Amino acid sequence: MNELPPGHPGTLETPFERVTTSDTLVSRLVDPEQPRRILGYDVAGDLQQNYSWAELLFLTLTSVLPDESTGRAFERSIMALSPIDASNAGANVAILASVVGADPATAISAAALACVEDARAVVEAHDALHAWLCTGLGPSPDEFRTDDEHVRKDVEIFADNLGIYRKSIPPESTWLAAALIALWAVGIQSKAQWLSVVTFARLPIAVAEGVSSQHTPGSYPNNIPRYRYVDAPR
Amino acid sequence: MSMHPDKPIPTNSARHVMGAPRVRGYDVYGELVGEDFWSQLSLSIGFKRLSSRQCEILDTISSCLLVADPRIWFLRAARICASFGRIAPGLATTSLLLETTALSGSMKIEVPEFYQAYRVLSTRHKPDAVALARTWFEVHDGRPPGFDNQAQQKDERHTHIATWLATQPEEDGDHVRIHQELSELARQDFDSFPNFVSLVAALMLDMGFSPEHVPPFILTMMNINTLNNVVEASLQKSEDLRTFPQDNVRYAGPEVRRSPRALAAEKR
Repeated sequence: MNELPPGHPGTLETPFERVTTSDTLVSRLVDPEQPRRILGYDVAGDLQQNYSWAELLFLTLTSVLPDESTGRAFERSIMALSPIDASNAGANVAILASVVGADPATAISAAALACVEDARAVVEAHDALHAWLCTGLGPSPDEFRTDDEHVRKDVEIFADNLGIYRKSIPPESTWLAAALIALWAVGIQSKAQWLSVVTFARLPIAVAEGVSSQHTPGSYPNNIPRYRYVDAPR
Repeated sequence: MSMHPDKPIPTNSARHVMGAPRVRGYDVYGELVGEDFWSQLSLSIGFKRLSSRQCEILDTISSCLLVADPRIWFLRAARICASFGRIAPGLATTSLLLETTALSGSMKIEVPEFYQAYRVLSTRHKPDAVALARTWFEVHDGRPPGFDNQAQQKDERHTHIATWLATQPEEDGDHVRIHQELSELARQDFDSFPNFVSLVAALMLDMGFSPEHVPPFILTMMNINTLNNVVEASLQKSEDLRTFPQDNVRYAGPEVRRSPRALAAEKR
């Protein structure tokens, strides 16, 4: 590259020369010199042979490999968070991406954005549950309990599927509360971790709705919900 | 909140009337063709059409914000996303970062809201307003949004807008005067200095905007810098942006190890 002459704008000092910064980017999970290891574990010779993808996700979230009971309970908690229908923002946006003819990358990007926002809303809606779990005092807040017998039955089955973590789930919990309490029980306890897991749990279904299915402009109910336009006052 | 079909979502935004689309109460083709860009934006976010003088002020502000060095953190993120050849991912990334990070409080509604609260309080009892300001600075360690400069102690964007403003005595409104008072308090008692966000907020409040109108304007102005970077990055498709130079990556994780299950299997 040709050297720039003295005084050229490309040679003049900027704030970035004044501030001392690192000359290396720190990689905490994968060593560039050992690119097929995660947190020190060999992917082919160890993780693939001994762990599930959900357990790998647990490892990335906590830096610790779960024991079998914890790994299974974590995987089942992810499954509990997964079901979303087309009304969910992530799936809805994925379908709209398909309607407008977006390529798969664009559809996945758009769906991911909506899924994260949806997950953020889920976590925020459970702030009081998180606070209750942090204190460990008293019964769970009323808003996270349900009288719906169908939900209670499913929550009971879900709790049974959690093995040693079964007793951590209050039987009257709402479905989402049960899933988040299960995450807490296995050690996924920060709101950032919850946000990650809810997003990872739901994105595949959102993507499948939009990317793997054919949607046409005529197939989207564009007048629902309705809008009522009124001229703004001048 | 789920809406009942009989309770449609109210909107003043727009309606695509066939052949005569309406925006915020105006017939687009009949009344808004040729409207100044900033006036279009103002109208679109629920304020009003702007005068040519107001647009001139916003042009001046916007031009003072044309600082687009590709090493600025959120622009760097934009370039990385655009380096795969598309503009939109870079633009989306930076819009998110601008809205949610503390960096310069760029998109925080807290700044104009505080200025508005300070003005109301100061008209009733000035010492209370000053005490409120002092508390605001203290809870933010002397650097609340709008006074939280990162790379430099003083924000040159603020300096240049303020310099221009000093030549425009008719723009010396209540909120700009409040900004000057708070800047003095920041300098004297907290050794901090305002950045452009607080001055722009003050100017826009004096123009009649509400606090919620300020962030969309700043986002639009800042995204000129984003487009500056993502257009170039999408054309260059730099490998060094797609993958950070490996020689400058340092691993700081655990050493090579065997998992508990692998160790158990070996013992069997």
